[in-house]
Amino acid sequence: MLTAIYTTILYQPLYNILIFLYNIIPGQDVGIAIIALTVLIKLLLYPLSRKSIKSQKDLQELQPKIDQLKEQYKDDREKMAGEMMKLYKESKVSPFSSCLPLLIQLPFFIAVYQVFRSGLTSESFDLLYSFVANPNQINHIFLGLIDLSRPNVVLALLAGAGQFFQTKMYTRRKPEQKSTGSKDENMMAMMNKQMLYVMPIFTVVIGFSLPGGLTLYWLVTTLLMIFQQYFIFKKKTDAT
Amino acid sequence: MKRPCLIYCEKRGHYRAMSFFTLQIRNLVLNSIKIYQKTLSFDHGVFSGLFPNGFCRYYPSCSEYTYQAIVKYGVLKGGLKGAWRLIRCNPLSKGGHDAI
Repeated sequence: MLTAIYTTILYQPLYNILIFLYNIIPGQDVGIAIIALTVLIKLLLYPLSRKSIKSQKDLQELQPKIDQLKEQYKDDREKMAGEMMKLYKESKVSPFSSCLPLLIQLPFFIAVYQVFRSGLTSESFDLLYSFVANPNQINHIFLGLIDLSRPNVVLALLAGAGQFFQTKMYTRRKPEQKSTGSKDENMMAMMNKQMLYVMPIFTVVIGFSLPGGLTLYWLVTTLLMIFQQYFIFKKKTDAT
Repeated sequence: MKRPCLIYCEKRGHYRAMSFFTLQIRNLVLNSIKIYQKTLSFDHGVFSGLFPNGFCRYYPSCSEYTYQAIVKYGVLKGGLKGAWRLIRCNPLSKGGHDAI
């Protein structure tokens, strides 16, 4: 029953939008349709991601004050936490996300993944709504060059490179840790480094084994994220 | 065949017997939480570098809370407590210290 609900609410609408885009965009290229749907999803989720990038930005601007508090109350952790909470409240920054929204988004992303996977084959046309024309066959050669139903090395490498730049952008703006490095901070720097290299390698390895269509989706998402981050972070420097 | 296994029960303060099967399920669930924490978790895993101040608005994090709840109350009751914590962990809640 759960699968039926999932199919009707998430999978089927997304699949229909993809095929609809495939039908109306000239050229009959599923790659273009995937890019269009990705942009559409990103636009839909824009308020969400804007909020998280913005809070990241605010937090980074607040970092000197946080470091100061950390230095000031380094012997009294309880007091430090209290003072930090006060600082967050005063500057109206919420440093925390929460678990539930993340959990709710998860099925959505699984559905997107499955739609792109099945969109690359000429199957499951029976799931189409009556007002979406049946294309009978899906052309899965992107721009006449890349077969999106097979793993593609170039797309995987591009996605990995994009991932690298995106993570770098996200973590770069942290001020250098000047204090003589407590264990905690060293740990954090190491974690950041790990993020920077592990994620892109992970992306490339996964990209080698997934159909090119999914790697293309990943690449487009990353590029849009870079664009978004650039845009939001830039606004800050203009304002000050 | 039933093989009784001993497990320390914090609530009662002594060891109690648990069927082999129950213990296997309990360990499977607890180990899955540990694996999640080591990999995907934004609070404990590979991506924790992205959130230097922690991701979850509660302390301990939702996964850690659930883990401790299952150790203390068992898979069913502890799991329910964990699920309720996940629901509470939304943008409207205040967060803070919330130990099991």
